[in-house]
Amino acid sequence: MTAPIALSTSDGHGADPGDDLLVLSGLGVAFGSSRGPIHAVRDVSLRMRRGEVLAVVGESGSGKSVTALTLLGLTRGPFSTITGSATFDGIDLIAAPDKQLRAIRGKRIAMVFQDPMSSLNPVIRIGEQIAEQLRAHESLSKAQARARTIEALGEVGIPRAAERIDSFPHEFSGGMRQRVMIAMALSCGPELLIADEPTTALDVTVQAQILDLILRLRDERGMSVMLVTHDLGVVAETADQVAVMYGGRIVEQAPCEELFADPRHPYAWGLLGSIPPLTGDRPEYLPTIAGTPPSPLALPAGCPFRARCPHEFDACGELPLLEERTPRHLDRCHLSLDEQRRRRSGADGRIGLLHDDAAAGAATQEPA
Amino acid sequence: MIGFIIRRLGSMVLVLFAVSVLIFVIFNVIPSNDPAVRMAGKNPTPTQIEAIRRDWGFDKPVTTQYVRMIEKTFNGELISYSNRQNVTERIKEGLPRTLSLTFFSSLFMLLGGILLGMLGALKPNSKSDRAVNAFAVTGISLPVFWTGSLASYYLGSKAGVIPAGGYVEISEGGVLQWFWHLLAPSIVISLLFIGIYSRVVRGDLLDALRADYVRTAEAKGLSRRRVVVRHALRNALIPMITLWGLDVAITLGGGAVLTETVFDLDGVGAYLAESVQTLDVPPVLAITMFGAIAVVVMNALVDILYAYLDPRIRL
Repeated sequence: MTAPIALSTSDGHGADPGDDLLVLSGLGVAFGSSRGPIHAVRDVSLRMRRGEVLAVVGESGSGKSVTALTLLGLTRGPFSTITGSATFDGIDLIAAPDKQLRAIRGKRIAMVFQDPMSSLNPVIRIGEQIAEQLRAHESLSKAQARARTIEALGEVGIPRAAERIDSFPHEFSGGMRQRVMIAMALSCGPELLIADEPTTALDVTVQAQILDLILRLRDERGMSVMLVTHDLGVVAETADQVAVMYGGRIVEQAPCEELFADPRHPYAWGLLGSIPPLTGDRPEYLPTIAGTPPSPLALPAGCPFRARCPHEFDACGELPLLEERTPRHLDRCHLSLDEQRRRRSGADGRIGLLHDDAAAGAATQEPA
Repeated sequence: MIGFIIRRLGSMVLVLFAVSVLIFVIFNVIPSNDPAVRMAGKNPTPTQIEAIRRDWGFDKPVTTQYVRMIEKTFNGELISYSNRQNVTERIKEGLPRTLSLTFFSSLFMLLGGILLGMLGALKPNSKSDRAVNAFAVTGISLPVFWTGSLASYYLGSKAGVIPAGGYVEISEGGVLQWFWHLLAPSIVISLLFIGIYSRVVRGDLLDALRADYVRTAEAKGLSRRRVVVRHALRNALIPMITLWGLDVAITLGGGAVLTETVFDLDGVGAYLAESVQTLDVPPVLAITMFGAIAVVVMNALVDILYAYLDPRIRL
């Protein structure tokens, strides 16, 4: 690829709509089930700029993967209904006809999946699997496609790519397979790479390699990356922007450093608080968020995090709006900014979802 | 590969030994099955029976009789007890008929099973899926001799749409007549297997369509046809191929007893039926061993095909 498209990672460009590569607006995904509709994703709105790495964080079932899959029209399941819009460079991905969507898939938006063990076809040589994507989007001869495939494999750090091109997936390790997946995803030079937990199934050392690879290629090509993950360590290392999802909704969205320095939503406090500290005394038990995520079949009215939030009060019965209370930092919580700051920090200054009496007492005295 | 062939040949020897001993023992313990008595004709004198017994070696120990029969089987000298024909010659006569029948029926099973299975899997629970399911259950339930007789009688003898039976060699009536006479019996045999395969393919294809690698293929922007045929179907066909290989082997090895009889094809299967009725041990033994060889060889071929279809499998 050529020189990166103007990177806009610094603040101050937020208002310029020309920079937006992907705009989700009120996106909702529901699946039909025998026990009623399952609302996997509700009213998700966000903007992604060109060259940006957006991390979508949340627990299993928070709707982050479904959001990513919906963008490519890969949502599965019976009777799924999609509402809202997802606009990619002016094209509505939800409304686009199949043919137009197919031309975008793999070419302009590519995807890397979680499990490299099962995401490659076990009975087709890896070279053919990459070459067929190239040939689906570009008019290449077999020889040209093969040359491009070798190039793509070399670029993701597969040694002796010209020999390995005729291997089958089972002849590769997990990390190597994920490299193949990335080579495949990047082969047509996409503008947006969606990586759905690309490192979850890999060893820790391999995880770092794969992330470095994605970031290096992002820098070289200027593509945007949507990184779906539940690993906050990964987020801290890679993301420009972070969207935190809970119960199918975005509960907080902020530039990466800001989210780690000034998390607003109690759920985000809980996530950050559950990272083991590297300095100081180690806690005997790693803090966790009590309870389990709500069933998407029976989401509570009001704030989705209500049932697990120690700071819940009367107002939480009503769903808070996702508000931009300071520039580029949105959250969905009824607590005032001051209240949030006061309640999230423990005596040692660490951020966490605190259950102490002081915080509880404060809540009854002056509801925000 | 050489190791694979040696292993398969070894297992073939074992299978042939077991099958032949079994057949031989069964026919020796069946009550009132003294071949000498039956060969002697009506109202024989004891001396006549004794003479036949001596001539044919029925007075020898059972083990000696077994060894001699096996020797003759492989030398092509085996003689039928009931009509004193050379068994090998007679099998050779029937083989082209059975082979032709096997050829068409295996083709129909394969294509029918795949097509109907796809029809069901691509639109699960639709009308076409239910129709395929109904067809499959019907095909599995209908006995071959019944569908065969109906087709032969109503479509053949009465309506005259198809030949009621018989076999025409290519050298006699040309390819078209040859095919025309095999069409109905091939379809009749295939019905059962199409029923089974369509269910197997439907299930495996549905699983494959849900697989992660199919989602990857879709994410690459490939056409629907390419996703289904190249990515899903190829994986989904692997289990069916195993079934198919064995069924072809059984038809080839004289298993199409009923169809060959109903349609008067006079192949290996019909010969087997005829020989069992007259308790004629030599042809039964020879055909059973021939069938066993067919099964073992087809099995090996299926395994080779399997390894080709799924590179994770080592021979």
